[in-house]
Amino acid sequence: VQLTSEGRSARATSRDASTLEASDATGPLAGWAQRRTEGSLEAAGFVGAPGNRVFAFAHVPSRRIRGSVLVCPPLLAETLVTYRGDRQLAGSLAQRGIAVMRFHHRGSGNSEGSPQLYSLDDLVEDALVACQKLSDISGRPADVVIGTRLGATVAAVVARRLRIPRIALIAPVLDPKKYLREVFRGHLISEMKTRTTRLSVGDLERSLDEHGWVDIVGYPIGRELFRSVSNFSVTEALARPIRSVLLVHMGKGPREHAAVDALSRELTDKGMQCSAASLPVSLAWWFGGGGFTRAENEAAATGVIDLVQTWLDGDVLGD
Amino acid sequence: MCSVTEGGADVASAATVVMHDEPVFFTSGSETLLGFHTRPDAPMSTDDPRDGVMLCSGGWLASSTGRNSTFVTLARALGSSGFHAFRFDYHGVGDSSGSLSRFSLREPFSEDALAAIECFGRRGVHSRMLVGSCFGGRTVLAVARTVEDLKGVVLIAVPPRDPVSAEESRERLTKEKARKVSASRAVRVGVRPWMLREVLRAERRRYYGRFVRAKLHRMRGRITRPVRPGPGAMAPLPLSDAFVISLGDILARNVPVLLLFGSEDQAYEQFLAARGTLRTLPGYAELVDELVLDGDVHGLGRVVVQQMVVESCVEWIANIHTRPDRFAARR
Repeated sequence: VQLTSEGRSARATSRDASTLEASDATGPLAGWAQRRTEGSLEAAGFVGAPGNRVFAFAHVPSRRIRGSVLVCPPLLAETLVTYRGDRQLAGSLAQRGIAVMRFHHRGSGNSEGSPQLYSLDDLVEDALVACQKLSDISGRPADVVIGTRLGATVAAVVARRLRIPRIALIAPVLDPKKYLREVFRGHLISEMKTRTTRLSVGDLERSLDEHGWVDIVGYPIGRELFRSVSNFSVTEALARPIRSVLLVHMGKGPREHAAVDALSRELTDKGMQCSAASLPVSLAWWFGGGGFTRAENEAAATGVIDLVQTWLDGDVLGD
Repeated sequence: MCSVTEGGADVASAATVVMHDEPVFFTSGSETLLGFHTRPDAPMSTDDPRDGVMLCSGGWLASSTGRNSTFVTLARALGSSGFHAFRFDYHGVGDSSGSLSRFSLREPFSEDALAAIECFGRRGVHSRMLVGSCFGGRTVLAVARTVEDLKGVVLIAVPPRDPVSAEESRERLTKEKARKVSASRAVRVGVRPWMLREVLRAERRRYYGRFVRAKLHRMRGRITRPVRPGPGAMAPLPLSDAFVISLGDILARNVPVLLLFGSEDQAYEQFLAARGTLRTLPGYAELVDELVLDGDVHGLGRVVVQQMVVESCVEWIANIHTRPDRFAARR
């Protein structure tokens, strides 16, 4: 066992894709579907307890693993926007010798569970289970956690709880109440396009209280999630032992950009090494098609990959 | 080039937890696709335990899960009813390899679907039922003739007509929305602060610009009735030969078909316009069930609609299996 630079224990290992394949029947990838691609092994399977099993997808480098990254996805409709980008990011990191684990939160994608019932704690639990699997596969504790939108909130909690020293926050939700209002508005706009709805954001909030969940463009948001997210501050969660933070702001609005800048200053004051970057793309997170353009989505994905790679190569995992 | 192994029943059964959804990689041309085999809680019957339902999701980005995992729910509901189900990500989508520039109803991903059917077969399950949504429905129609002993086909919000181009398709969609939203409603919503903020966003501005133009054109038409087609007026979309021929082939094999639409679907309006032609197909009256659900089935934009779609599909498929004489009686 050797100590990492953060003082955490890490089992000395020369693990890579071939050693994992060789121990297929009993190893950490037993029972997982696998495919070999150029430079990495990709594996898909489930982790967690029955009823809430989480679908996870691992990218294991063919050469010696020199780092491991957990990717926390956004929630609900927003996953559609980032899914291929996250996949490309994971593939490119695996090419650079970094093992990556992606997963679907419970109640979404291929995972089990009911989306109406979960809270922020449940989402964190999903991430922890996926992170444990990542450690089993890579033979070392996670070095970095990356989260997008509400996934960044989950990532912040996971980083603090598991003492993961580095975190990348992609278009993080810094004002959850405002975020939820925007989500509700997205629903109203979508409704307006198809039918003459007379609902307001207040009506949706009342419906949430009354029925326990509310339907937002075909995705249920539960009361527990709403409450737990509304009262959570990512800024407060970002504290030592987190040592290095990459903040990526997306959009063209100056107000959001200013919020990210303010957070960056605050984190620096807390003693963290903070790199802030801005991508001038405006993604339609909650519009199911109308405002979506593939070019903007791809531009965002490419931008994020470049930023994360530069951050990891130059600052964090540089040889 | 990828080498592929399957996470299969043998490995999964060795685990302490019984897995019903099994991820599996399989090749389609030069790409490797990710599929999911959902096993039944208990086989439908002992003499025919291997009935399989192949699910082809719609296009766009939603992978094999569909919006809010509707296709996952459908696969698991079929599993609970005794069927094997298989769904997969098309190339360039979800966790499959490859890249994708566009989905076109004229160019269904037959190669992917055939590879999925083969993969299902290698796992000992015959695809006797095919279910496809929109683009996936066109894919189902394209491969149906190659499936032996086909027992049923479910087509969910499948447009019977071909769009001319992506731009024209967007134009039509906007015009349709302009028709549905009243002018007073559009004005009331349009002056709200959050809407004004929305309009300032470049990617939304294009849409709202199209909407306003379409609405104004429509209002002008009302004042100067009869409406004369303006320069932007469009001819009716052509009925898809591929749709008609493939549906005819399926009916000629005495295979029942469920046509499932939502009352708000553009595909439903196309279907209504084309129904006269489709009903001339031999066997249509005897073999085709038409089911229209209230709402938007194509986009699955409401949870309640998603649930209705799942229930309708499972009920129809179970009926085909348990009452094969139903359609024979009609004939």
